[in-house]
Amino acid sequence: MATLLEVEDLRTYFTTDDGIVKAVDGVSFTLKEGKTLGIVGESGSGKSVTCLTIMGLNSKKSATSKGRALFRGEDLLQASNQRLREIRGNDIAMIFQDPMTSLNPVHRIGDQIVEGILLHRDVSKKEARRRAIDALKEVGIPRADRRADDYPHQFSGGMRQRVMIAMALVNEPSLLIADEPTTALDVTTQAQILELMHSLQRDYGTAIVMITHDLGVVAEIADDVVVMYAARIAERAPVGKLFEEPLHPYTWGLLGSLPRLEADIDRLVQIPGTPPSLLSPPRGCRFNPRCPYVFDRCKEEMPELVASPRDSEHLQSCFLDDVTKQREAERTLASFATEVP
Amino acid sequence: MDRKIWLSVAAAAIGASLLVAAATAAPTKIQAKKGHAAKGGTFVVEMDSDVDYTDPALDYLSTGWELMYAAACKLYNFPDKEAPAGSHLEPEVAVGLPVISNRGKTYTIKLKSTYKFSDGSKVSASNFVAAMNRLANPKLQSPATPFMDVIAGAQAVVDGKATKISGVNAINATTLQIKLTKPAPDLISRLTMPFFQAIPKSLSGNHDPNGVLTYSSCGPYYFAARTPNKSITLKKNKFYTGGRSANVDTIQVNIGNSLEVALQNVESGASDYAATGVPSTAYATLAAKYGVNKGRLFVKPQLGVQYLAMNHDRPLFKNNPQLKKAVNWAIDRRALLNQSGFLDGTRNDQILPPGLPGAKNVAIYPLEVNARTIAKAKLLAAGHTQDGKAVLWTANRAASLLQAQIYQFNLKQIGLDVSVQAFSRGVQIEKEGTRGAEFDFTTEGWIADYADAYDFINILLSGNTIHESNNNNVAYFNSPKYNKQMTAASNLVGSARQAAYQALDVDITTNDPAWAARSNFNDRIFVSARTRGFTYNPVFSFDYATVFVNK
Amino acid sequence: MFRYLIRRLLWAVVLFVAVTMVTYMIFFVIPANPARLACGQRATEECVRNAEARLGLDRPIPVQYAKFLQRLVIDRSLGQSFTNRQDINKTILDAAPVTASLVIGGAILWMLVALPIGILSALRPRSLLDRAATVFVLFGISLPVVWIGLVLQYVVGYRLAWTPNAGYCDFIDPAEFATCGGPVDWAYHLILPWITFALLFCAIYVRMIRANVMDTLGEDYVRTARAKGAPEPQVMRSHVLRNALLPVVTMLGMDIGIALGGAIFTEAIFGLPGLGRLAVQSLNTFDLPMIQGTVVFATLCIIVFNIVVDVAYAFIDPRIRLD
Ligand SMILES: Nc1ncnc2c1ncn2[C@@H]1O[C@H](COP(=O)(O)OP(=O)(O)OP(=O)(O)O)[C@@H](O)[C@H]1O
Ligand SMILES: [Mg+2]
Repeated sequence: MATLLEVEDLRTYFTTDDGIVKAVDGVSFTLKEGKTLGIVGESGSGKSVTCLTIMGLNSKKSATSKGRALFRGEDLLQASNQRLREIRGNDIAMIFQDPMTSLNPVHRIGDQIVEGILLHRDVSKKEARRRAIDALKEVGIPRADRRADDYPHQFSGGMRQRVMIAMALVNEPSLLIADEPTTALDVTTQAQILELMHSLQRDYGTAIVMITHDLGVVAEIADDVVVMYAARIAERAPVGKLFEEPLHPYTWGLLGSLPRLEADIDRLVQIPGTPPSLLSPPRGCRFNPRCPYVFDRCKEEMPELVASPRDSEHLQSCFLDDVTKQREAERTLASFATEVP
Repeated sequence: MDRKIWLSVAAAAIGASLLVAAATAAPTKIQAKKGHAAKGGTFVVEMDSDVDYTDPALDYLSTGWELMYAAACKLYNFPDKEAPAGSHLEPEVAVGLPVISNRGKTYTIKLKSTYKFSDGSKVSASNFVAAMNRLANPKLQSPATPFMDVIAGAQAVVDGKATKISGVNAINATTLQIKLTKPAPDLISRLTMPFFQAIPKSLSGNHDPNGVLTYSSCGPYYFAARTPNKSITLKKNKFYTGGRSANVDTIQVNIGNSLEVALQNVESGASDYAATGVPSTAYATLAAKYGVNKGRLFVKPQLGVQYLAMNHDRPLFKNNPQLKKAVNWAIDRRALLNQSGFLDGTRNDQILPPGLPGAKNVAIYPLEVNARTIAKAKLLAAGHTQDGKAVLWTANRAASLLQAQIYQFNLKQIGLDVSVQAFSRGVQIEKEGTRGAEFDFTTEGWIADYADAYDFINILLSGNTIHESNNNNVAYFNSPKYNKQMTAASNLVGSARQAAYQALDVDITTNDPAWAARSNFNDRIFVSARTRGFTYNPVFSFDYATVFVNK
Repeated sequence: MFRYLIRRLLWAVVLFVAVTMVTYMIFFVIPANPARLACGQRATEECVRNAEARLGLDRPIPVQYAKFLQRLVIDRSLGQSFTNRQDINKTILDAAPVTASLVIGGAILWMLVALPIGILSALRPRSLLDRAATVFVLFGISLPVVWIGLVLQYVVGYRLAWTPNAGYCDFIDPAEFATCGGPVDWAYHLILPWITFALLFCAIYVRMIRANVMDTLGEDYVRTARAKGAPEPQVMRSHVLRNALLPVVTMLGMDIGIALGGAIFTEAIFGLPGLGRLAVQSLNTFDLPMIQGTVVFATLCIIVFNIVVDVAYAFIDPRIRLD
């Protein structure tokens, strides 16, 4: 299958009053048509900025980006504003984390979808409205023809996320970037939304970049996974391989923090310490201050993302020797093997 | 040549020279000044707040009377002249002085038949009768009723028991008869008040308590339009044949501009006269720029007095002439006057203002303090200051508060510890006018209602007028001896009256001063560059009828 | 909507009674006697007594207040002035257009200026324009209205004579013999008052609009709109401004009440015969019915204005329900 999106050494730096924030610092990945890429990582690791950079939605004033983001061979970082506007909402659509604030409170939801149609399709308002209502029906909004005239505040969070999805998919984009689409929702709704996205992907062949904190979600829907830590990629692999043999201490930490049925503890507390400041990240491996396996080299040298010796599709950036990695991966998996399906 | 032609040429020549003569003769006095002043034009006036009424029965404010003076025709009036002639009353519609009979209780007044209202109707005796009936009408509640107390039958109308004053009758079109309940030698002075002007038939039956905004009057001008709080327009009375002048066609009063704006407008010539004044701080600058009484800024004495009243109901001043004299010796009249701006008045220590018939300047107390006068004051006060404490009431205006401090300082020197209490002016009037009020001093002023000493001495100092509240005699001065002399003086006429009041003024001030008078008011008049030749009447102030504007 | 109106009306009645009662009480705590003032310098006992009867001051205060209410409710009359006996309804209706001209014109002016400056400086923070706007805001907020008015009046109106220095001209139907009138004169005479009156609010609104627009620019739904591929003008118009200006409408509604108070100074400086000047004059002369009249009228205006703003707000912001 053809490559849809190819990101190469993407870097996005923000100029702020306190200094330069390197929010994304050398990220590369590829995504094939119709496939799903999961991006996981702690809060602040640069997942959203990565996607916003691809969409060209960072503030022009404070952000500078380098690298390449090839969408069907066209570098989005070099594209004109005009060209970007043509692509946005048409070829690439995006849905955001918080459905409560992502819809404009003063416009009817039908109109908000119609706006998206009219921007890219040369159809009458009436036709656009018909399509909007169809889209709403498709995402499972009951009585869509009437509800199209309601305002966002008249919908629940899950419903609003459905509306967002309808809005994103109405122009049948080939890539959907979903930035934590379920984080703000309750568990049952989360599952419904994921199921919805999954089925739409099946029907339309849309490729998805799914940003999430939740490895469970990744396991469920992603084909490939990117694990980000402090603006860089810690590990990148097809989903099966990642869960079979995680190769980065950070990934182990993440896996260790997956919810266990018997323990109702907060997801990410199991990695001690906090992510580093992106204003002045630590020398060497950025994970070194929190890494239980740290040794001298980690503090001096920045590890590159390299293929595992046993698998060219499995990339990781850790100086640990392969044997140790294998051993620790097994131990990590064993500790919750009973719980992971 | 034909004789006829000669005659007509001669007639034409005479006619032409007469025209030239007339044209040059009429404004001679004015042409002496530079510029060309002629009759006509509009005289624009600035007032910061509106007059209360333009109804002749209700208007009782000096700014309103200034306008009324131009609009009204009265039986007797003060002529369009400067002081002192301007404060000597003359017959206006009346012919000569009244014939007084029945031991001073019946006045028979002959009228001229030439006066006309601005609506063209003739002024006859019945128009004056109608005016008085209207004044007494209870529906109108006119503030003029106190001035009609001596007119027979007036009270019955005020009380609603009659509709016509029995004592006021038109014998015929040109003869008016007024009957009194007791002799009132100041009656004809009272009749100069604008209340007693003739009113047209159209107004006589109008008892609307709100009063009218415009009406046809019989003076040189009439009120042609008025929008309350915005403007008043007076126009020349086309039918006026009386002797008074009427030079400009229109007097346009603009209401509501601040004193600062009035100053700017008169300065620039957008307006001609700041009737309610300019900011008090501006007078010194104006005087330096234009001089005083030289064309732009005029300073004219007014018939009014400012004084520090001493409360005789209080132990401090009861039977304590020594201390009252000491106060008069102690106060610094110059410093007091300086607080109210440049040329706001003239220092004086007597009750009657100069220019009022009967007033005579006698040196009694110092108009200037020095070591000697202070020593004298201390000597007089020694042993008479009781507990040495006193309360002084004043208005909470900037100048009044500064003056209170000066009083405090001056009275400290004679051993009086004065505490000052300031009120808004309306509150001060109400409180000090109530008998038994707890003050020793209060700062007051009085402006003549009409040019007669009665309006000062009897009204402000007679013990017979003291009530429980609403007192004008805020000194609560009640001397049986002087009460008797005041009543006697009020019954006199002519020079005897003037002499009696003059003696009372000097006697009271010297021996038993009820007040410490400090100054007489000045009217400070600022006019535009094109304003010419107005006279200032000491009673009614600025004389609109006489003003010219330059073309 | 219906319930809202009922509640609003009840609230208005309570507010109205409270405001008028307080005015009455304050007035009677002051020991000046308007009857005495009405009788002039040589007030006699009798004149004062008659005036008290005419003005109704001889009755107990609660009775006077009840009479006031009765007259207001039944005759819809505010009575007559103590000082010049003019009908108060008429006096106030004469003065109201002046104040309305000042306040509404001023509000339009300040919005016309504050909107573009506020929006542009939010779009280009730290630009030259933004910095100039900040300086302007600082001046506008810190300079006293009276000072600004006097300076404008003296310099622009008098010294330079670019505009009239004071005075008011009727918009329509000028009085007989009036020296000016008509829309052109009206606007010409109001230029300086409008500027004076608007400056403070203009500064406040520039700041507020700038902050609102900046906040809104960071809203998620603006990002959503951009992600849809909407061009920037459309994003601004349909997503940023609409939301950013919602609170401005409420503020405007609340500020009109404050503005009515601020009009007093402007009216005094420029000699405008409006409600503010009327109130000050009637305070000076202890003209209770006139004070009461202006208070009642101002309260009424504020109540009505608030309802209008509420309704307008419900109309433009679908999240608000009037009930
Ligand atoms: N406009 C900006 N200006 C300055 N710094 C920014 C800006 N946007 C993001 N950042 C910084 O970049 C870093 C990465 O942010 P990003 O939003 O990509 O994190 P994230 O991985 O999406 O986290 P989360 O899971 O909380 O959404 C953070 O430290 C953030 O503070
Ligand atoms: Mg994010």
